Amino acid sequence: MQLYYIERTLPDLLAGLALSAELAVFGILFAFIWAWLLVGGQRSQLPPIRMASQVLVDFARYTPVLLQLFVLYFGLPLIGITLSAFFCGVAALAFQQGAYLAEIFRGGINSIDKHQVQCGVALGLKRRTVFYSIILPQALIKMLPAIGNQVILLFKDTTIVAAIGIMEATMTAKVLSEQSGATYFLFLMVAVIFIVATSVLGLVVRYLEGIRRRRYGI
Amino acid sequence: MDILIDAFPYLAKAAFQTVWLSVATILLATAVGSVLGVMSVLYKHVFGPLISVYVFLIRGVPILVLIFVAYFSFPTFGLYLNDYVAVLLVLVFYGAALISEIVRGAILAVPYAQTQSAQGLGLRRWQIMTYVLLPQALRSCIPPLLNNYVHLVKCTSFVSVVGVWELTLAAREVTERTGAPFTILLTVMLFYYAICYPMAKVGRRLERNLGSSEEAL
Repeated sequence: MQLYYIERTLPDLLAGLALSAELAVFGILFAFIWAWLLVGGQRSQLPPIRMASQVLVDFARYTPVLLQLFVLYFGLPLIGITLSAFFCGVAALAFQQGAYLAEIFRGGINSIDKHQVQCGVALGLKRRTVFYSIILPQALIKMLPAIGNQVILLFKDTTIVAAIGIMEATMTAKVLSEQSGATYFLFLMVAVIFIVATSVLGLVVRYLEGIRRRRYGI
Repeated sequence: MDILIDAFPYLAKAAFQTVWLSVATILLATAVGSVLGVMSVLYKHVFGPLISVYVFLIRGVPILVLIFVAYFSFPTFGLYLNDYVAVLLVLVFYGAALISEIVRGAILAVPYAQTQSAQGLGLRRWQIMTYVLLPQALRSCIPPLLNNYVHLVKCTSFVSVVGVWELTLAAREVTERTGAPFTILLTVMLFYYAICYPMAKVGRRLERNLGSSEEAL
């Protein structure tokens, strides 16, 4: 019976997982853009911008992503912006994870020796060129494991959109279990699906780190 | 503003639930996690692999899914728990997995020469652990632990999804009743901020003082 049941419900759950993956892809994309803006703000010459971006980063990091999602989902329509539930989810994920990424970016950029900037300037390069072609490539290579970790966390966080009624894997499992009365079995299946998915992601990150080690020796 | 004043006692009561849940989670998860971490170092061959599998399984699953699995499977196994106890158990399982990794890492980060000298002095295994390794590991594991506590406090908000009443669920109720999402939700976010920010700040200061900053989180 269980096998038959797995066979019948698995496609629906996998469709939910695909939705999660879609959310994660958009979430990561916007999180990178958002993090980039935040880092730019934190490194700005103007103190108000610097402070504002730091406040945003802290606010995003020290409040639950679920509440950020509710603000977007229930609040935005009141000020005349109607996003679909899906993009509310994307925005909430990007808002929080972007702040985490911003901290990673900042740490990575600061970890590159300041002498390199001086050397670059002494060679007559523009500050912009020094940043984009000397500092950033090294920082990105250094940050790779932390970024990979954050991507996996973001993927796991996509389940929160169940709270606003999007049919991702968890919500699908809830609806199916209410229809069938199989109380916990479906959630176990979702758990297994997620273990497999995050392991695969973990392996990809590990593989990239392997390439990095062979090429750059760190 | 009137809405906020009216709703404030209700939210404060809910905030108390969240604080209570967080403190219980943090204390129990730290206790269980530390024991697991120490065991996985002391009995590397017996408990080590078991604990690694446990950590792997817990970390691979989103906390929300864990809450669903546990919340709906306890009654099936004849465990009729109070709502709060059920979600507390899940949060402790989850937190313990993360904390055991931190503790294990901190113990392993103590230079091996320390263990060797202690062995040379004729100390037993558990004596080396309690008198030599743990006091040194404690220093380096406090900043990542505090970061983790912040994470756990934020995780308590997920229990609202299965209908356990705490700050996030109360915020949602009040929002739906009053139709003032910004006022209520932003106030509630400030509650969480007030809990999490000091912890993170202390963590960062200690991290700077101890001069160890491997964790970028």
